[in-house]
Amino acid sequence: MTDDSTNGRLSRRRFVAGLSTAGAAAFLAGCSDDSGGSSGDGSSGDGSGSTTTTAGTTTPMNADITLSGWAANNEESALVTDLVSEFESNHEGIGVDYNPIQSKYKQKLKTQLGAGNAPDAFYVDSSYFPSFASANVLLSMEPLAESEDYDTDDFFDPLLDAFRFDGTLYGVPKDFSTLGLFHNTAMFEEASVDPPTTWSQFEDALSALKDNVSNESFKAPMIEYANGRSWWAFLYQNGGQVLSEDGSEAVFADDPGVEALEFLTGLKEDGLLAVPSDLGSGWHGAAIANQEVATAILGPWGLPFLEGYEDNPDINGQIDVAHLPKPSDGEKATIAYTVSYSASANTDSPAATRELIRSLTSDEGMARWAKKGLALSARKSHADLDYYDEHPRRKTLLEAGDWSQPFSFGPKSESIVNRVRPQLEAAMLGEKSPSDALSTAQQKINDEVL
Amino acid sequence: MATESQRSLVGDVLAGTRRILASAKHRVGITEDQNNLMGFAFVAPNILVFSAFLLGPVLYAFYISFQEWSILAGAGTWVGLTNYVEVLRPLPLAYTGNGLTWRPEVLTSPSANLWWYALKNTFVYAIGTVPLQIFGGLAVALMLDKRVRFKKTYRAAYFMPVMLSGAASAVMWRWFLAGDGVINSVLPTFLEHNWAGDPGTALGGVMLMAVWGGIGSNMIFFLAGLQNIPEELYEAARIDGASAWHRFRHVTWPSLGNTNFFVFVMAIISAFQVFGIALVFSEGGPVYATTTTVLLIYQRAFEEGAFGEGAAMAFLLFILIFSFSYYQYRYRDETEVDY
Repeated sequence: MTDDSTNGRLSRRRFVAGLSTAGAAAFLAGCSDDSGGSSGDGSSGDGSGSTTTTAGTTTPMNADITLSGWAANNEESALVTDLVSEFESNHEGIGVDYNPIQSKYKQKLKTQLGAGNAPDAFYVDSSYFPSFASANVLLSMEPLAESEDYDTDDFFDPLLDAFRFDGTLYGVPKDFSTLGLFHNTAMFEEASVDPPTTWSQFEDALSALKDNVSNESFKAPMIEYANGRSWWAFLYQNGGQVLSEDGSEAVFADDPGVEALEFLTGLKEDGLLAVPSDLGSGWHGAAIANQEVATAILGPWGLPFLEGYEDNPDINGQIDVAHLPKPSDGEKATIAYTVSYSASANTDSPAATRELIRSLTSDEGMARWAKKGLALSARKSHADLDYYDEHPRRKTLLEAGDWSQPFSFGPKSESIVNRVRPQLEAAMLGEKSPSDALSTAQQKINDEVL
Repeated sequence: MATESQRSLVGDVLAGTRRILASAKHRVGITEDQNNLMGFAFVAPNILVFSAFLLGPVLYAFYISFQEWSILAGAGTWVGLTNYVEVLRPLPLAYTGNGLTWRPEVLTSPSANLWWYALKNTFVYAIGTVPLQIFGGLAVALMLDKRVRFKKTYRAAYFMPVMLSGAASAVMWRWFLAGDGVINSVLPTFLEHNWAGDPGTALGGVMLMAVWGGIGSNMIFFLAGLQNIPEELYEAARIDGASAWHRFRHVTWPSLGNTNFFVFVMAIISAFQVFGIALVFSEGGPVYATTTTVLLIYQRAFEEGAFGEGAAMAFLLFILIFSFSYYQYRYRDETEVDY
């Protein structure tokens, strides 16, 4: 700046030259920022869509696609990375960039979809799948379902249905989890009870456990969240529905729902069921592992926790899983939490993206995924895998896929669940009667949401 | 490194900009005395960042509050004041044939209207925490401003909760206050209670946590304020025979006016914005007991995707906080302390 004075006056020409140099520099900087991200777009050969491929994967495709999801742990993301790199080596010309999102996945994905820069392929949980599908941001998976060598019949029907919207498939199940009855066999033996199959047996078993278990850590026969997670399964078992057939109206406060909730609140009132804040453990897995309770209605995510529970390595061997007890004249039902691989409707490479999803959900891809043991394979035929024979608790949970009900209630699912849960909580904590609580929630949903 | 010619080029650009601005200023009648170009240059980065990342999004959110907005479509339909009406109705004060009627059930039942119920929770929280945070902070600061052994250790101990993340302390307090928690183990049996799990006491738990966390940060401000008070004032008071209480009442307290103002306004604003600790402590439950306004906004917008309604709620809250702060600010002008 010291030589500024020597320049003193300046010609207009020099000034303009200076400005344009600065401008050009900025422009170049902008370009170089972009080139990393968009280099694939220019060379992408399958922009025209799904016509490129038959299943053989021999047709070369040129595309760079991105895959996003969440990863429960490093092992899980390492497996996806492996599966993806195998896919890349089998599919010349397709590059896959795997970017797990660690927190606030749904919020981030929604923002990306809204802004038009979502990954090509990503996980979608069934609870918000319908809100995505109804906003037309997902790519149809029908071409994949229709291709000859891809057997969608092998998937559990309820799981495929969870990812259909207006009859069109917009996602392929990645895996799923059902709720089952986790129980401590040592405590059951001590109380001389068998795993219950009906609600009344269940109640009797809990009473017997309450009176007979001597373990000093034992605090209550059963744990359940104050917002009554298992109520949703009991509702279906008792012949109820959350929404009417056409989805235009909430109907869960009809008799089946009220009876199901009365069953749960009855257990609570009789001291047979504790909520986490009554216990030292914040969730079912810990309560079971610490022997604070004898039973919990829990999903397969509880198993890795028990298997790796270092404070009491023996406990894992004592915990078995049974199907949920149901009303004696009721139907088999449980809740399924499922996640799909879906694709963005905006993807530049629909065919390559579908090809990736095909590979990840193929017989082999899914089997390798399921063997991680966090969630269950969405393919029925996998019940015959050696892995499930060696892991009978997971097999029990897998069998329930047949009669499972996805936790998903149309495009306004989240608003519905947000209005039901506090009312279930009110009933469980004795603030309201079950029928009062459910009617309040139902009315609010019918007035405000649907 | 820049070459000689590049450097002179930059110099040329700067000089040229200056000339253009000078002629523009001449035209709009700004004199050389008001030449604030350098000042503007200094604040420009802040103004730019502020506009791009705060003002812009805020104005956009205001626009969204009149829409039924879908974040997935990135578009919405204009619905006018519908979102505001939906949020506010039914009002706790209603006009019936007999004039204005007070409807307390709107504030006491989450089923009637969640906005008013959440606002009630927020007020209860603010009224319960702000005075304790302030007077607690002041009391601790007064104690630690004296010559006490291990003064620094105490200061660090009281400041510790401020350094802890809200989420971590919420998890910790949820365990403390559980049926099986530490608090119950030190209470006599007849007082044992599931503090965190009972809708009647859960908000109290969140408030307790906020007071515990708020005392430390206020303590730091008060310690700074105390050290600003000139020692001569105390000397003069002592010579006049003022007791310890009188010295506090007539020297310390009035001299802390600036600190009090700052601490009070900040405490109120953060009380109205309470979110993280309530979310982690109990996710707004049990039975909406800890659903505060910001938590409700978060649930509506980010969980349920009702961004228009969420934005409308956010603006109602903004109006509330803004009018409060503005009133405080005006009132403050009359009472500023000069040493």
